[in-house]
Amino acid sequence: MTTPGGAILVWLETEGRGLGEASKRLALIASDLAKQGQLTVHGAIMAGAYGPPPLGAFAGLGLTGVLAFKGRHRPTVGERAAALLQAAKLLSPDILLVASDERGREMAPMVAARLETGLTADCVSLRLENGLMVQTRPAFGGDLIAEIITPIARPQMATVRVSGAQPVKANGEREPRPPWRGHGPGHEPGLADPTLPTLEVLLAPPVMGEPTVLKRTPLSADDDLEKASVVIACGLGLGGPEGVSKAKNLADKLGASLGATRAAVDRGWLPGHRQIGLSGRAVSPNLLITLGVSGSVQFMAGAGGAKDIIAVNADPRAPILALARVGLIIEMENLWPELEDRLGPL
Amino acid sequence: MTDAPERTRLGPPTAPSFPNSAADRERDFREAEGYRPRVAVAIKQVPPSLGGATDPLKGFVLRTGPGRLNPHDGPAIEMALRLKDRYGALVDLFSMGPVQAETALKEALSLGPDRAFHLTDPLLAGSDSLATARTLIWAMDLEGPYDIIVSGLMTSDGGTGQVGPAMAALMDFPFAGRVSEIVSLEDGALTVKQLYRDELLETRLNLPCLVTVHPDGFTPRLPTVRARLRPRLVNRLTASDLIAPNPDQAPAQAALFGERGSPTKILRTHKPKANDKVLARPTPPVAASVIIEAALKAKS
Amino acid sequence: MTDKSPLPPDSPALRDESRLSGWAEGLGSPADRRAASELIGQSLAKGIPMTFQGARTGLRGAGVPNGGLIVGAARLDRVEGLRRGQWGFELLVQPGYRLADLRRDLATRRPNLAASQAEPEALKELLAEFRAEELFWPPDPSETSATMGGLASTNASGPNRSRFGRAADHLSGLRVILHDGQEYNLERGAFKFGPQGLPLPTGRLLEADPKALGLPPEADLLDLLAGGQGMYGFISGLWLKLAKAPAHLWGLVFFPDSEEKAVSLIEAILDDPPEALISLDFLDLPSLSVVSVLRQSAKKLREIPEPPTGAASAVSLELMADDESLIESASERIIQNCLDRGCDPDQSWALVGTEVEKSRLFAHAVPEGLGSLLDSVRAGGYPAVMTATDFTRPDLRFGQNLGECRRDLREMGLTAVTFGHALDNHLSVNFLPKNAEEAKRATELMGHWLERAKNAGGELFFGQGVGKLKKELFLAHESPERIASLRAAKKALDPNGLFNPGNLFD
Repeated sequence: MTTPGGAILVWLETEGRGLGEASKRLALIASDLAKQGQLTVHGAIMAGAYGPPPLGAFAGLGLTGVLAFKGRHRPTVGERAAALLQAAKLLSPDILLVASDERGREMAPMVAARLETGLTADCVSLRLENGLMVQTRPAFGGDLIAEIITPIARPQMATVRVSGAQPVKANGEREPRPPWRGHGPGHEPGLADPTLPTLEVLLAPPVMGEPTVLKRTPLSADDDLEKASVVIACGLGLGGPEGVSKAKNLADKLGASLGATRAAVDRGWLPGHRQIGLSGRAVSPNLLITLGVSGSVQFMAGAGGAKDIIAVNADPRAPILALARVGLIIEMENLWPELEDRLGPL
Repeated sequence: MTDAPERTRLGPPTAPSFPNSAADRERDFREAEGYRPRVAVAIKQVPPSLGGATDPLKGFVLRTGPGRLNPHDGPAIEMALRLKDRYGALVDLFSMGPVQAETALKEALSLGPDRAFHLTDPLLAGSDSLATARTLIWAMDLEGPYDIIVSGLMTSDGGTGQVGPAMAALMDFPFAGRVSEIVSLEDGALTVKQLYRDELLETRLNLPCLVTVHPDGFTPRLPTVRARLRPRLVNRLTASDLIAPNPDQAPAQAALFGERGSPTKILRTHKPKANDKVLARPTPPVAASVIIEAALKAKS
Repeated sequence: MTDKSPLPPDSPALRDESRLSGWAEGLGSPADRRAASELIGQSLAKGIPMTFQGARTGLRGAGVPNGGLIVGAARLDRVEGLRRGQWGFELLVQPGYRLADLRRDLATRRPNLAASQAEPEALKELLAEFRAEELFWPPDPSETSATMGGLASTNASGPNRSRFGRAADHLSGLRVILHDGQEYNLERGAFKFGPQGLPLPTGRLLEADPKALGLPPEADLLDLLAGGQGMYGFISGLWLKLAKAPAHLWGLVFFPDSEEKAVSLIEAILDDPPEALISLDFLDLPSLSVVSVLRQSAKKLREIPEPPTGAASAVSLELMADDESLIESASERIIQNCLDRGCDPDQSWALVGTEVEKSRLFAHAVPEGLGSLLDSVRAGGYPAVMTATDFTRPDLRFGQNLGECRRDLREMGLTAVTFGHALDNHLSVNFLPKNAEEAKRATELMGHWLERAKNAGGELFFGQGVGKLKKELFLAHESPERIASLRAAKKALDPNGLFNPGNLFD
């Protein structure tokens, strides 16, 4: 049972001299969850050789305390896990949350295995029910939604999909909401309690035998799909590379980022890193415009974080038309000339 | 292969500890004999709809028929087979699943691994990722020791990606995820490339180690005609094979199998719902307006 | 639904895979048969020519519009019925229903029969029986995104043609909208050729004999419409004859390290073909390069490994049987053929069941990749189109046929991508002309080959039809009787020349 006065521990990552977006959203999600059960939220973070971010970086996120572990610059996944494990042993939290990004999904199971506790991966929604954290996640390729609990082992661990995650309402909403209708955290930093957490700096626990990184090559994502406020997704209904090229020009003119369905990527119309979906990227823009996308469950798994969806599809039976706020049944061939009339050649 | 002292990695191991295999003794023996690196690959059979049996055009999935190899395991097996081609490694496959989940193992055997082990027992049913990790480790401890353990990134049915890292933590092995290339295997160390979304790393791990494989890293080979025609034998391991010879440890260990050993439980499942929406067949000018205005609003 | 303004020149609706492009005044995509009837009826009344389009996957330009209205069948993609015919189960589908949809519905055995007019109770029972069977549609051409209407209109076939025939052989009925604007339900045998000619449902009589049209003596109207390339009417429904699928399917691909060894292996197999063999295909080295290039951009292809280094060709075959031991013994024999002919049997792929999709994807990547390469040439300035010819030489062994082509290519100083269905002694020679001069030489050479094939009694436009691309060659090499009969058929079924103008002849 989650007893009042217990703790939620969240793992945070730095970005520059502050916190990464994913970490801030995770803290707010934890903060919403904490209100349901009178819990406090603590953060753990690796500080790098020069120390943690300034205290102000942790403001307004609902954190009571932060444990910063001074260690190597660019720690390995194993070193992160060791630090988080140390924090867990110090705080004995009821709940431990890690953002579901590439490294989070590697370090969390290491910590869970060491603590011999349960871990639910890639949750889209969290809430407290009868004192237990109910972890909602897609399974079977997204065809099924599973609600999972860790009845006995502690802490209850979850990796949380932050870009498309739904906030849990402070009024303790009981009904599971369809996860594909996420509205993002619904908070901006600064609106929550502005008090600053206490900060304790510790030495990161040493880990011997860790892998040695010999070379590191940064890869630029030549797009900021996850940060975009408007995303245009290209589907098979665009017909081919010409349609995609028009979509790209449309995106440029509207200041939007370009994404694609798996089907379009498989046909080589767009590069793989633009794929949105269960096996692609998750986006949470203010507006998602889909062009010729049918809206498979796999696609929606990556697109569900969008606050607003306008779907364009000539087929009235396309599933996405039911999921979008606005469904426009129209052929792309008939739409392009109009858009060009308004925006110029595409 | 360096002889690592007692490594303090994620804190001292917690009880219960694993069966005391003859790992160190065997290692010395093999060094004297002329060493062939030993690689274990953990694979899983998934329902056919998630085995990649999809049509490229419509993405339809087959729901009936025999199960298939988890799509992320193909690259994992391929990485192991390349270690075999380049360094003479001996490759063993391990798969945990119900009795009928042997198809994927048999298929994988025709690609070239040396042995395949099917961990199957009603006691193992209902295992979550922690219980699965433990069970695989016990099996590998029985048949090992292994220098490199390879796993696919995640399964398409559970999709957690947790088993690999959990095994690394439980075994105290150095871990590298998302491996996309083998650089070299020499002097007791494996050097690989790791592909994350924001960076490419070249990393060296001391043996023994555990890696998960990037799904685009290695294109799986296809079996040759002769390999297809060869009989393929899968070794079966049950829970009793995995339980330590020490009878005092047996009950504690048995409590860690299957559902009993799984700290997470499924509360309920349901199908995703679609909301009712009003659809419109707009004229082109109206459609264009809706799109452009919404975009302008969303940017502000 | 119908936009009256002319379509912009870069609209995808004006092109198909042949890279030919046309022009049109409008595009209509009727969502159901009634709408299709209305649209076609209106156009007929106004004298507006129509071009019928499926998925635009055609390689010979049959779906490329030549003015007028494009009638796209893409939204007519439903299953309308299921019945038990005298040969087995039959599925009634709309013309826009794709081969991929059919394969999915047969694999899952859950066709969406919401559009069916039949009694729900009777249908339920029939559906239960249907679901107990493993069925397939034998022709199985490799372009799975093609529509059934398109496949019927070109009388398409796949690599297994010598064993299973063509699309028309597996149709038991067609619904068609003819020049009078009426929709007719045509069952097999309903309108057969008689001594006077072929009676037509419109009341006219087509005075022609089946032989002159290239059809067997017992042919009927369905055989004329299938392969008619949309020139005689709009196919609005098709009854597909389904067959029981043999229990086992294997796909084997061998990679001999020289073309001679590949030919040798093929001829060894042809000398004593196993009973289970349903297709035997040859791909030359340039074909393998084409696939390799396409791999860069097609993610799906990257799931298939590259051919082994040193591969100079590929020999791809499929074995199908109810008894797997037949397939296994056939495989062993073929391994022996390899060893006898100096091929390494371990340079091979063996795929079973649904995995055979991989070898099919691999083979299909050749024509697809050719399209991409053509696009590169076009991007460089020369508007190249599909410059290829498919013919059979029943008088030669496979190696002789290939050898003759190679000699001619050398003499003309041309290179080409060549593949073939060896069971039909077919070769498909594909050129990538970089300028008009090369295109001219290629066309000359193709004409030369067609003449020889004609003299040898071979088939001239095997597999892909004539469309618009092959018109010149068709008119130059086809017999005058055939051309005259076809014109008569066109006159009888489309007196005002409004259906797919420009296909076959002006």
